[in-house]
Amino acid sequence: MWRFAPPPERFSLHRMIRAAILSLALILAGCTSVQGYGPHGYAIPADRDMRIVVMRPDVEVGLLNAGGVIEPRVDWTEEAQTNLLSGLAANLSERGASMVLLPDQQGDAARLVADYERLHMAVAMSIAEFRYGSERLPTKGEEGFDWTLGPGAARIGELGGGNYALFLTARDSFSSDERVALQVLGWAGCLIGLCFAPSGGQRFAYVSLVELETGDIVWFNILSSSVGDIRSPEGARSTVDSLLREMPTRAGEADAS
Amino acid sequence: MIRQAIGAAVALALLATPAGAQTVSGYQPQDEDERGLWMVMDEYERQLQRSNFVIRDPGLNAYVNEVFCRIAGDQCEDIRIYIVRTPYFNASMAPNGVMEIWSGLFLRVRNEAQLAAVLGHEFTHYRNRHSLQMFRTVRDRTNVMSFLGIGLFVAGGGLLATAGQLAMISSLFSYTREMEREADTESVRLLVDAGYDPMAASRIWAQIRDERDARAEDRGHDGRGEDAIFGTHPLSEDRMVDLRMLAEAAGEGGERYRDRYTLMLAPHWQAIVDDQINLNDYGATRHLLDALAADGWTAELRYAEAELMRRRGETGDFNAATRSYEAALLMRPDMAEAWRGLGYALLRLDRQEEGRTALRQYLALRPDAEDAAMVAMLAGVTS
Repeated sequence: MWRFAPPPERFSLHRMIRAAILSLALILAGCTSVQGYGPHGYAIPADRDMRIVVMRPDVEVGLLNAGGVIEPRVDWTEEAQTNLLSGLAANLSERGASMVLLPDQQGDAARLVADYERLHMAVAMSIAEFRYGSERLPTKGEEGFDWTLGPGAARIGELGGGNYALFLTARDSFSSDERVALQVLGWAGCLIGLCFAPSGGQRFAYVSLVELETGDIVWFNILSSSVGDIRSPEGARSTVDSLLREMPTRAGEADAS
Repeated sequence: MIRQAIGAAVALALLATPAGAQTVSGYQPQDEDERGLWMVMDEYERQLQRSNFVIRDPGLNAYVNEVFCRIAGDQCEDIRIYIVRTPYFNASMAPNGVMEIWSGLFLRVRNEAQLAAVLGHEFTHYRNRHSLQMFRTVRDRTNVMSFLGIGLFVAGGGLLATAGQLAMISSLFSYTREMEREADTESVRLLVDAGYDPMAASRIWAQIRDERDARAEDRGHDGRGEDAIFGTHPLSEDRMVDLRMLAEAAGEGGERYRDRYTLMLAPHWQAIVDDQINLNDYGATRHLLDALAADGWTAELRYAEAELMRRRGETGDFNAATRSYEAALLMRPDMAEAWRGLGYALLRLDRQEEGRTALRQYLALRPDAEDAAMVAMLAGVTS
């Protein structure tokens, strides 16, 4: 994006800090960590069948160049989006929950959905920073998990026809041939005492389950792993399975973490 | 040795970067990487379309688009302009045709020709596909450097490799500055073709410099200085001088359309200046108001001045604010907000009775105002 003038200091700084926080949190989350969180003792009410409104997944897949630049790829992104959604549908139906993909909205409803997408992103960032990162908010403590989008989220349920909402974000990149060559060179370098190891493609995904009646986030999980190619149906399915493994889906069920 | 190695890196990178062809009307992305860049920005546009920060007023949008179409001709349909409520001076261009204009720009651009200059600059980024060129340049140069870095390390150790990295990074900054210069140069030509005063582009930078100086003087320091080597844009001073020379070469003449611009902006001016005042940037805001008042103070300018003084609230500021509110009300006795501000300022000066009277004037003019209940309490109105 080209700007007419250099941006004011606070803008560039703000973005850099946010990006840094997220990547830091993901590194701290470990290579294949699957540690989800939900409020202590939360269980799906026994008289409630879950009907999950799935928000439009935020997915981007790219090619990792030798120098580290990620080149966004349309075809891979579209494949990943389709495959993640079918993986999600399969996972949930096997576990007794039904889902409905929130259709594109118009006018005020579209703005409302956008508001909640942005709000959720902000809350998810905070969870990544203060739950998966090393810092703890004094008010949140080590044990508790009480994050919410507020009761206004019920309107998402009215729009989509469900009692829970699921937000899914996935980023993935795959090494170019040159990047692979560079990695090989890095390993070979070790033989002559000149070690360097450029990283391969980075992938991470996170998911939130929101109880729409209250707006509370009742399940949250980050997956940062190098297994499962989300461009393929099998890879996407295994990514979804890992992400959702401990998420409660049946009436009366508590989270399994 | 170092110079040769760096030279080789740059030469390789240049070979790998194809020259950018210009877009034409109805342009769609051609290659895989270009489609990828568009995809990311299409997603961004999706958010923008639903953002509460976009100013959707049909009148203002129609006007800005009309000015843009004078500049862009048959490509005008390919660009979607979003006016975003952000109280700073800037505009931006994305590869897929999304142009953003920040509301703060309207305070700093003084006539239609200056607005056209900004639009022409941004349009050039789009037409010449600068985003794609920049993306390819960064990708290719960092690719080359990732391999060359190993060679440099083997040949001369970590210092040489670091020197190579630095040279590569500074070459990227120099590349973006080159694109900015191209957009500046082209904007002057577009102004001339559309019948605008070509000197408008240079004047913007003179105004921006003056504003920056005023802010620095008020705060007693320069803030972030501009960077000649690791800066994304050429120095403002250089841009001003270069643009002036280009305009001089283009010759005299062309329209500025100041009255038309002021008229179109009038319904939005109050909201835009309110955001500026809320920045708590006294020096720059004071400078902007004085500059806008060069041809005489209007009621709106006096009101803005009064608000600025009242919000700062240092010794003597409430007295100064009171005088400015009164000056505004002399010109426009029905200006409800000025009565409210006057009331607040008088209360702060402990002139209770006068203050309450002013607040009651506000309530009489705006019985349905959002803050009516709060103001009524301060005015001692019981009902």
